[in-house]
Amino acid sequence: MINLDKLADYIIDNPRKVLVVSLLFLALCISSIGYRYIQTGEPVERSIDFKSGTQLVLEYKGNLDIGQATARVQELYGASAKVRVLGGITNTVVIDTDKQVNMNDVDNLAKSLNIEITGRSLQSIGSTVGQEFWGQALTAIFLAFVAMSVVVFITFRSVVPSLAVILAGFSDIVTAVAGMNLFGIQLSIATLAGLLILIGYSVDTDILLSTRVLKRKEEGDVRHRIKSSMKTGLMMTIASIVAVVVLFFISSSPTLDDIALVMIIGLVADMPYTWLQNVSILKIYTEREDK
Amino acid sequence: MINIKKLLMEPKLIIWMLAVLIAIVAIRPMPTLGDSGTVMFQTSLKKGIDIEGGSRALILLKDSSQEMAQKTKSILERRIDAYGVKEKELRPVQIGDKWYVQLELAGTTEEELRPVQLGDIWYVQLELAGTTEEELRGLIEKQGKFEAIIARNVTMVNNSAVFTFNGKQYNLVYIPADDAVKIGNLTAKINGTIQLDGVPLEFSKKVGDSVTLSAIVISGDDVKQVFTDSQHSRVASLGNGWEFEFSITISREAAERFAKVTSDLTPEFSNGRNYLSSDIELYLDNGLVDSLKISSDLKGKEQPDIQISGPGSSRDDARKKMNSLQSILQSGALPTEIEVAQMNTISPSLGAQFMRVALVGIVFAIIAVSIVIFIRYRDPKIVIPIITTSITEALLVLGIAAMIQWTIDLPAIAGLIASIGTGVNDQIIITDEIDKKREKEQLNMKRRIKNAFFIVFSAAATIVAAMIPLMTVGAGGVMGFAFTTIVGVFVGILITRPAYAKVLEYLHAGE
Repeated sequence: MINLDKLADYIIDNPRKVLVVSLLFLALCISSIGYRYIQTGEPVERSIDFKSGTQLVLEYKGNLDIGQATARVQELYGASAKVRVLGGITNTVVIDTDKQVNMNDVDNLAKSLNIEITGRSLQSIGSTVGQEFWGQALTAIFLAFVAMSVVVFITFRSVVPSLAVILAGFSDIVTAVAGMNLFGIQLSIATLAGLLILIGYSVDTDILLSTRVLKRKEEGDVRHRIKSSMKTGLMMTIASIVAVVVLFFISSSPTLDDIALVMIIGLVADMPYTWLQNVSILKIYTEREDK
Repeated sequence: MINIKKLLMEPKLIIWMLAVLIAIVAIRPMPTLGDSGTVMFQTSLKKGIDIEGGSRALILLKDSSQEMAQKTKSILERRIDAYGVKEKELRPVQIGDKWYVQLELAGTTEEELRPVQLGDIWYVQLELAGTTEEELRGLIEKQGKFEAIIARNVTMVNNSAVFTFNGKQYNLVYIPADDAVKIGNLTAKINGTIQLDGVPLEFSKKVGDSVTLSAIVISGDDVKQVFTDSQHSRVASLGNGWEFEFSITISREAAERFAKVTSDLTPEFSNGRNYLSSDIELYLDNGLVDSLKISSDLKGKEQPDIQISGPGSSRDDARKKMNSLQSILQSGALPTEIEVAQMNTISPSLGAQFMRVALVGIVFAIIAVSIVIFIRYRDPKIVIPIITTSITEALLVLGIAAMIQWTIDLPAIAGLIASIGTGVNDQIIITDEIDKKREKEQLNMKRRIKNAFFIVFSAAATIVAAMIPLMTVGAGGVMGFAFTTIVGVFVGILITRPAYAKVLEYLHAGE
């Protein structure tokens, strides 16, 4: 077990070093997204929600050989088609393709895969509306960010601490996106919801930290206040992670699965951004204020 | 010891308990026996199609305006109504600068689940057989432009002929340079239309020395009544396949046109009966539905009732095609061409499965979180209130959803989970803030609670700020997530958080 107290002391004693490490990590995430952007023309892989195509969700009985299923699906719908199995308490297979598919095709597919389909859903989207949704999604991310920043500024009414909180929120989203790219999770309407709720989840630990450090001078020295926030904040994040991990393993719905997965990545990333990055910025800031 | 009696009389606690009570009444959980003998709960909650099964379509209008969206909406509404689907929701929506009509067909209501009414919800039943999505497309993707045409072939010599129409003779000349025909002094280019004796005549094609003139006898507006009763509409086997047949009543003008066009046709003997020399062809959105022979005794008659028939590959197929065509004829044509831009369809069984999984997920997530909290505080006096508060918070959000008839779909459940999560976080903050009495500076309880709530309110405000922009994305696809989260946050800061803080206050006072 890591000695949290010692770790906290190290962070508090070496804020500049810690900040550099954290910013380097953030830079790594940004460049990975940038690299993807240069390679493919988009920062994150868009799901059919934001392009066009069909998503089939099939609950099935029988044994599905994922390799064979992928081969069959790609034979039918082209090499860009994807197959994944969601192992929750039931078996669900999710097929994504940029083609328009109808339910009759599904029956034929099931037959050729030797599975019995017990439940199904089909979602298809045309390119016009997909593009519109994409525009809306970008606007929503931007507006959510601006709105969050306004709230943070109103809360703290001073520039550096507010910027630190906003930077933490930003870093968290960027890292979540980099993580999505790493794990091959597409940006869908569901994962967009996951990303935006992350803004809320990531910022509340930062608000806790900044409030205690900046507005509670009566509660002991900065070191003490940082450590007490850390105790509370880590508890909050761990409780949230445990909840979404449980949800992720039980769920067999792509909507819930995707939201949970994005939140797990973002919540894990929230810990270093709050307790390394934001703590070190606040420490440097309070040192300067005291001078 | 804590003074439980006094605690329960606290206004914040009373509000909280009352709210929970009202929520339970609003949700109205009624235990019923499921088909497999398991006890299930029926509630007054309105469930989304991704839970209950059903379809949702977003229809793009080629000619896009709010007025078009309204008109399209009401025609589609009539069409789907005529098709026999009861539970539907249509609304015009604007995305970017374009107008759409959003259509939602829920699976089944509790009422419709009764076996007697199974006939009414066969749409859902068919979906289980895997055809609804296609069927729905067939129904709504048709603009519904209906035309009945009787074609006349005229054979020319040296690009001219005498053309008899409604007893009158006209000189018909083909002009090769323009690819046009001149009848009397009227000229029609290829695919162009002229009015002859009040009948629209289209110059449809020229093959060799023969030109085809199509008389448009009936168009969509002429359909006055569509018979769907068993006397006037039926499905029967025909040879190897199946055929549907139903009658419609057409307008007087259309009947007159029928008389005029048929008066020049000659009877021909085929299959043991006399038919006229041209067939009547039925078109839907410019696609041929069927071509029917006209009995020779209808020649020159103003016929108000017309038989419409068409083929089907099976009895079911013929019945579906008939139902679809009847519905389209009844509702009339849409004012603009349309395209299905987005289609979601989910079978009731999968929806129910998602719901079960989500509920199991919530229960296990709460248990897991309880364990984590217990490991941290090692005090049931703190763990129990935290968990109780979280559960009641979920109840309150569902209660509000039931009261305002807010649809609970999967994104809404995800939002509920997200708001419970922030709730637990807030309670951890409150617990730790109140627990500060052990620290150097002794703050009074009021001050400590105020401190805690400063953080709780700020965090709540950022979540609401981040969720509001999400509400408009994807034609309301994640509206449920954003809205439920926001409701959850408000329930938290207004009802459950204050109550929880009060409970902790008493716990600490009791120590």
